[in-house]
Parts: sequence; structure tokens; C-alpha cells
Amino acid sequence: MTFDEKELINGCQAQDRAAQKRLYDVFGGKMYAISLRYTKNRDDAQDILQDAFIKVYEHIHSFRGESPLEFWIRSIVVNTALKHLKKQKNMVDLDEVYRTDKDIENAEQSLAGFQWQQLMEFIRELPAGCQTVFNLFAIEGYKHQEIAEMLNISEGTSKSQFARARTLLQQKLNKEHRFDNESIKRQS
Amino acid sequence: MNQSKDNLNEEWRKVFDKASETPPPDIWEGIERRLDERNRVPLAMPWWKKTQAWVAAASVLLALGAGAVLFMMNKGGDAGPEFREQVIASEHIETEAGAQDAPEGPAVAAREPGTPEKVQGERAPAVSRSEKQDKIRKGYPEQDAVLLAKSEPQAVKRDLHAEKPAESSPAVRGEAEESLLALDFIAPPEPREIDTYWQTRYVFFNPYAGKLVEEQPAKPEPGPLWAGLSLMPGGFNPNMQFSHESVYQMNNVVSTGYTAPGNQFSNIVGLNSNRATTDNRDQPKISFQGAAQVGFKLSKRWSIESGVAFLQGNSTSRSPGFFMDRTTHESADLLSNAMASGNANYSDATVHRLQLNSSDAGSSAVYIPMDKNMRNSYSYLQVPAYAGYTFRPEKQLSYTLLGGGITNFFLKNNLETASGYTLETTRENNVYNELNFSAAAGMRLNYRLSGAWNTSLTANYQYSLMNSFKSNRFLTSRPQVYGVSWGVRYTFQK
Repeated sequence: MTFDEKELINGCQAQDRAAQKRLYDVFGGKMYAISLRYTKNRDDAQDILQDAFIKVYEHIHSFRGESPLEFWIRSIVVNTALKHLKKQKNMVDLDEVYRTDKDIENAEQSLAGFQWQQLMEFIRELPAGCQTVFNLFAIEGYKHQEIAEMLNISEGTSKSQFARARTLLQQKLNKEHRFDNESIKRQS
Repeated sequence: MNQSKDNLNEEWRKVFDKASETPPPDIWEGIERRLDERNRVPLAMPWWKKTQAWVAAASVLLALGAGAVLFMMNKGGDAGPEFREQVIASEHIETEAGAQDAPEGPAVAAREPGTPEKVQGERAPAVSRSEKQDKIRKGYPEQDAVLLAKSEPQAVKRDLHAEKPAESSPAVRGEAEESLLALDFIAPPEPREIDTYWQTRYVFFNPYAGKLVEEQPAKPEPGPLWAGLSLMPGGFNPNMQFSHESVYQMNNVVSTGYTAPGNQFSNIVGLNSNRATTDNRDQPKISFQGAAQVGFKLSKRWSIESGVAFLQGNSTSRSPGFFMDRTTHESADLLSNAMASGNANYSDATVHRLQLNSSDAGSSAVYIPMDKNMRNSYSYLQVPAYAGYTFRPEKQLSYTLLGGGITNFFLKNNLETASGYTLETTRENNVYNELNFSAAAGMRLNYRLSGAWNTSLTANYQYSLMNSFKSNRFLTSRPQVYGVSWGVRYTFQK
């Protein structure tokens, strides 16, 4: 924990509005990006961001500095997003099990050359269940068992949703690359 | 394969590790507002309405009472000087009585009869203050000795006489006290150790700190449903016009004796199209609309709302002129006659009051072109349906654009005629359409008073899409309503 961060936490614990604003300024952008990654539209992401920061300010006194502040805030944002998605019943398709296309699955694709905004749009275009599981597993780093507990689904469902998410993402990545290659050919 | 997948996941992770997008500015404003609401101190409840206050007061009184009782008891048992002197005096009296009963005893012989003061003077130092305090410390209060002495005076006397020499009365008394004090059944028990129980507490570390936060009960937040009341002062204009057809036919009245609106006039002198104008000359007067609404928030910005409203629309309508019988001087204005035409279903008495007698028609009737303002009021029951789009929804002051339609149910119309008679028209008179539709638009300023309560000012405009008259050949009416309503709204909690 840096000195500034400690000062920031102390200020937020004392409910100092300037410190709260600074905390928001420091982490708001990143957390907004996370909220966007879990939702389909910006209004929902903004609601999540707002709810999450209210929780952060209300529970900042329980933060002991055992992990970086950003991780702590991030976990609150992710949990708020999950709660929001559950409320909207966006994960109704989670129980469905999908078979994966082995050929596509094996064709691993590098992300080199893609902007994060572009990749985020790919993720947001995924079916809601796939989107959530992919975010939790691939990006947040949770295990399937943990995801199963968090989303109240089976571990197998989590795995199959993730597999489907990756298949769909591979297709999107391949398509983008194909367009790139075609455009290169046309240029040459 | 797995290694490859892990690498890909790592790649995704890295891509989003630094991902950041500036949120819209109104997010922080919303957070700030919610923080303010949570920090707002609730109004203090009067202390006499709080049960806790009464319980606390009762506890204090109880404690004070108990303290007073204990204090009094301690004061009595504190072996104060007066009380101790009384103890000594009472014992001395007992001893003296014993001496008188047994004059031959050595103790009595040694004592100087009739000198109790001296005896007292001798005994006083024998029971010094420090000794008494020692006894008290040992748990043998002096008053215990008094109680025992009173209950067994003879035994005390016997002991004193049998065992103690008469010269040593302080010693005798000391012995007697010792025997009394030996009764330790009234002594307080020795302190003993209380059993100590240990409880082991296990604390587990939960890595999902956010999840813990999640499970804490959240404060209620505004839900999507709201209900409200509003009152709108405004203007109502019935926009009543004589049709061109009526003007044409009125000309015919003059030339051909055509059936005039509402009655059979012929050869009416002075009626021409120049006077029977088609201009809208209605004047809106102050009108009111009271409404009860319910609304539902579809998203952060979009909402729908409906409800029920009562509209009292007041105006003045200007009749272009009136007919008058030159012989009887009875009159009937053109506007009310036009209203009573067609398939109107008024009672005969009403028709008679509105029109000249048919026998008066003809050369005796004359048209007098003279504008006259007549009060014209309408009552409608309205069922509006609006869609709204709200700007700055997170802020304390927001504004909403409204658009939609209103279903108007005609209830009543009162038209004051030129002769002073008020023509009341209801749904049964078959003059006005029972159902009419209006387009409506408005803009509302919302001010959030608290989490659940809002107040608003709404500028509203309604324009009828249909002619209000059912089958009138001479008149049309497309009412307009406009005004600014004030309302309160309660948002139900989630």
C-alpha cells in the first residue's frame, strides 16, 4: 500500500468528500470498464458502477489493506455486477450445456493487434451466461468451482459456458483476421 | 493444449488489466447525492415518545431508590457514635438490673450503685472506635449484639454475673460481646472463587471480501413504480366555431326563409353572413385539472405514466348575435340555438326557453347582430397516457419531456345564454361526443425531496383531435387545454 493510498483510505473512512472523489477519480475509469464488460448496455454499467462505489464508501472501514485497494474495489464491482445480472435474470441460459466445436477450439488465436475496446465488444456480444462465465474465469481468474458457487450453477455448466464463450470469441477473432488478410490481399 | 489455453487467458487478462474508460460525469453526481442522503441525520423523535427513554428513566429511578434504601441501611448499621452509645447504655441498664436482682454477687458489690455516668465513663474507652471498626471489618456489626442482648437478656446477665469479676465491668462486657459475636451464622460468607468458563473462537479468513459486503442488508432504494397527485390551474378554450355551412344557411334564412338553426325562422331582418362570422372568439378562463397518476420507470430515463383526471374547463364564448321578436321582445341567441339544432335531445321546456315561439317566426322576428360574451364551462373525465424521457435522472433537479394522448369522457356543459338562462348539456342530450381524444405534450421539472418523495411542476398542453360536437351542422369545437400543474409523487421502495 502506498502512502497516498493509505491517506486516501483514511480520508474515505472519515467520510471526507474530497477523498471519496479522489478515490472515484483514481479507480472510476477502470471499474467502469469492468462494469461495461459484464453488461450489454451503458445504462446498466453506470448503475453497477454507482452501486459499487456506494458500497465501497460504506464498507471502506472494513478494508484492512491485506490486498491492494484496487483488487478490493474490483471484487465489489464484480459482485455488484453479478447481483445486477441476477436481478435482471440475464443468466437464464446458464443451465444449458453446449457442445464445443473442437476444430475451432483447437485453433488458438492470439489477441495481438486487437484493441481492448474491440475485444470488449466481442465479449459483450456473447450470450449473457457465456459473457459472465468468461469474464469470471478468463479475466478475473476465478476457478470453475468458485464460479459455480457464485452463480449457483454446476461446475460442468460453468465449464461448458466458458467453452462456448471461447468458441464464439474464436469465431469473432478469426473473422476479424480474415477480413484483415483479405484487405491486405486486396491492397497488394 | 492446457498451457496454450492458460496463455490465452493470460493474454485476455493482460489486455483488460489497464482497460479504463472515463465514466459520464453524472455518475459521480449520483453517488454524491446518495451519500448525502445516507448521511442525512433523521429528525429526532421527542424523547417522551421513545420507549427507551422511559425504560432508562425507570431504571435510573429504580437505581436511585435502591441506592437510597441501601444508604439508609448502611447509615443505620454504620455503628455511628449515637447508635453505639445507645448500645452501651442499654447493656449498662441490663447489667445494673442484674446487680439489683442479686445484691450478694461480687460484681454488684464492686459496682457503685447510682453512678451510671461513671460506669458509662469507664466503659466508653473500653469499646474504642478502632475496636468497633475492627468488629465491623470482621463482619460483626454492633447492632447484632443489641439484637441478641434484647432477645436473651437473662443469659447475658447470667454470663456476666457468673464469669466476670465485678470490678472489671469493661472486661465482663467484652466477654459478653465475644460470646455474642461468636454467633457467626449471621456473618457474611467467605468469598469464594467463581468457576471460569473458557470459550474458544475460531475466525476463518474469507477471500471473497466483496461477497461479504454483498450479504449485508442494503438500504431500501427507489423502485420503478410511483404514484402521485397533481393540481393544474390553467386555461381552457373550447375553440367553438360556426361552420361556413351555417353562415351560408343563415344567408338563406334571409332570402328564402330557410330553417334556421334550432327553430323555424323566416324572413329574419338583418341576418347576413358578415355578422355570422367564423372567427374563433372564445376566451379561456381560469380552469382546473386535478389528477391522480401512477408511473413506471422502464429504464434509467424512460418511463410511462397514466392515471385519471377531472377537468373543469371554463371559458367565455361569444355569440355573433340574437333573434328577437319585435312584438313580444322575446329573444334567442344564435349560439345556443345552433347547439340545440340537429339531433339534439333537449326537453321541450328547454327548447322553448331557448327559441322564439314558432308563431313569432316570420316578419316579426329580427336578427340583431350584437356580440355577447357568454359563460361556457365544460366538465371532462380524462384518462391520460404519457411516455416520458428524463434528463439528469440522477440529480436532485431533473426534467422530463412528456408526450402522449388523453381519452376525454364528456360529463357536462353549461352555456349561459343571452337571455340569462343557463343551458345545461349532458351526455343524454346527444350534443357532444361522449368520448374524445386529445394529443398531449409537456415538460416536467422534478425536484427530489427525499429518497421516496418528489415534487414537480409540469407545463402541459392538450389539443383535441376530434370535433367535440356529435352531429351539429353549424358548430365545431376542438378544445385546447394548457396550464402548469404542481404535483407530489411517492416512489415505492424496492
